[in-house]
Amino acid sequence: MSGDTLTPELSRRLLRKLREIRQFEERIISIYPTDVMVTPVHLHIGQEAVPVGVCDHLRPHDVIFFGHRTHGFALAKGMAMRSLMAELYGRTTGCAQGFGGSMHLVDPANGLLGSSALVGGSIALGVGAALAAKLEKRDQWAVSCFGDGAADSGVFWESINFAALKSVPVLFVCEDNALSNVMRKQDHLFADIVAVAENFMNVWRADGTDVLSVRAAAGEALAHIRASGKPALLWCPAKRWMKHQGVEADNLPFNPVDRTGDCPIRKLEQVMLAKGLITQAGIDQMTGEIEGQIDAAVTYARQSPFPTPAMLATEV
Amino acid sequence: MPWSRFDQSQAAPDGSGRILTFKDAIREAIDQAMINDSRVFAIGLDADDKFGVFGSMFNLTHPERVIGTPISENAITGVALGAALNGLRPICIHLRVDFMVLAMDQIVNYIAKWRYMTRGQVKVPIVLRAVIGRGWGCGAQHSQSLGGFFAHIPGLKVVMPSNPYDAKGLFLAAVKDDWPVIFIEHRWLYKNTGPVPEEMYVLPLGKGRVVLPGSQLTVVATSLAVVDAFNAISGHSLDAELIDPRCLKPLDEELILASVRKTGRLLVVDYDFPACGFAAEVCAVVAEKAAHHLQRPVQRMTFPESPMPASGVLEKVYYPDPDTIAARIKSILNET
Repeated sequence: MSGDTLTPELSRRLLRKLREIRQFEERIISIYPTDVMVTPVHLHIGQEAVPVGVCDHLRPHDVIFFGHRTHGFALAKGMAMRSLMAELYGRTTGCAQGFGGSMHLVDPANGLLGSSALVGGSIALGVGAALAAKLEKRDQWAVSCFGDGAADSGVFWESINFAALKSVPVLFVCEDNALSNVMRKQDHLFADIVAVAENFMNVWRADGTDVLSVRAAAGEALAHIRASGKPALLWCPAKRWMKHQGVEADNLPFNPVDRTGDCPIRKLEQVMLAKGLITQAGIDQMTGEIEGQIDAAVTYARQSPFPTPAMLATEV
Repeated sequence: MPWSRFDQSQAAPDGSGRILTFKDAIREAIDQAMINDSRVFAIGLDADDKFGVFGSMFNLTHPERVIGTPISENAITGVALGAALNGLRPICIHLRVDFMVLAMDQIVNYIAKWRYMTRGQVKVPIVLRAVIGRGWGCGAQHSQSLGGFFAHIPGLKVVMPSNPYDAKGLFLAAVKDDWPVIFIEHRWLYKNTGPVPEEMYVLPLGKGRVVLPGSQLTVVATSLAVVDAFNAISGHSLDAELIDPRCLKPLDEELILASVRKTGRLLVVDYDFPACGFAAEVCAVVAEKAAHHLQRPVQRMTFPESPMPASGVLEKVYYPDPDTIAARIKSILNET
């Protein structure tokens, strides 16, 4: 899979997803101060290459679990923008009818079986989903995504140990932004994640700010899982541009962000322009189309009804 | 839909002549569930050991769907949940409820809330077997019940069977259910025997039964406490109505309320901690909905507000038994 030629179709598909996530979240930033989205948001801006590079390999019935930073994975996996926007607006047309908010997204038709905001626990869910696929001999991928902060939790070790012991064909993806909330990595994790994980399984390294790097490494890791029946881990160092939570730019002194050099969108666009895979006019047109999609999603959300009190104690 | 044929009638067949132990009734339910539905699998510490889980996993028809695990309760419970979300029907086994507490993140934050958070778009058909026990100096960390602890959390069903017949029917109902069910088994019941039909049957979750009819006092008890209360009442020929709700949640409130309206008195025997517990919940339900029928204040018999001691001398004081239950019932009946 890594040897795929960068065709116009592939490069445009990747750029489209990167831009959808970026522009969608930039719209959140502009809307958020008006207090119509009353839900904590953890923005993916700057890290878009990880969900896009991984999810490009996944089909709708393949499943993926992730943590509190949800929007990028959901959009990359195929969730409709309006369904996500309406959820952020707390409306019944949202993916969870306004009961989930930003942190609890669900879209079974696109392999999103729910998401959790508690760091670490969802790593085990991906292992369980992969175990189900193995027991039923299904052609189905299961992916567990998590950050470096989650690697501090016991459930991470329990999960990689179990997956390795029992040959559970799960892809672990560590989206390593070297931050756990406002702690830098050397203050929260003593050992190197890759070095430790390599005792349990094969590990692939990718540049988490480069979608082509992530996509290629994810493809190799998945091919290994298919051939061996064993789990694999994909490690993607990335840069978090925004604060852990909310819509402000991060300003931690140990998290300098180079919005030119570390930008997954800019990196891909430069490659595409150089290879003649797209023109600046083509990029502008794509940007405009996505803005139109987001406009429609906002209108849809605003016109949708709120949940009623009668719905409160149902599904319990 | 392999489980649909059980939808027609929730009435279980009469106990045939066949006698089975409580443990073997659960073993048979697990075996039949796995034969009936290839999505059912078992996972947990010692689950695949031939004599594991106190013999309840012995000689199963589908050992390839029994997965023994390292002692990693939190992740294993999460693995079971992930498999359930992805279409299987796991039976997740915890050898002692005290160890299940390590999985409270998965149970309270994930399993209990998943259907609510996803608006039921994703079902959570998972059974968590929690084995409880006591005595033999097991002490504070191997003797807890914690049923009320789980029942406190919205989204969980909690089952506590007291006899082999109920154990099989309730277990199959739990596996069939598209909601998470905590199935709490008292080890002291494992060798008890009773009639158990060979065919598959389900008992409805949330329907209790009147174990002994009576007119002067309503005694509500679960699990091992049902057996002890039965021996107390029948052994001393006391005029008390014994009710086994079978499930802490959903609770068969109507059965309890109807009895209290008749007897005017309530004693709840709950082998668990007292504060904010199941006994307190039953008392609250009666106080809210049948207070004007009460002739005497409601009463509870529970563990003391203390962890369990190890010394047998103290254990005898700590745990209620048929004698202390009989004494309490007599004192209530003599108040009039």
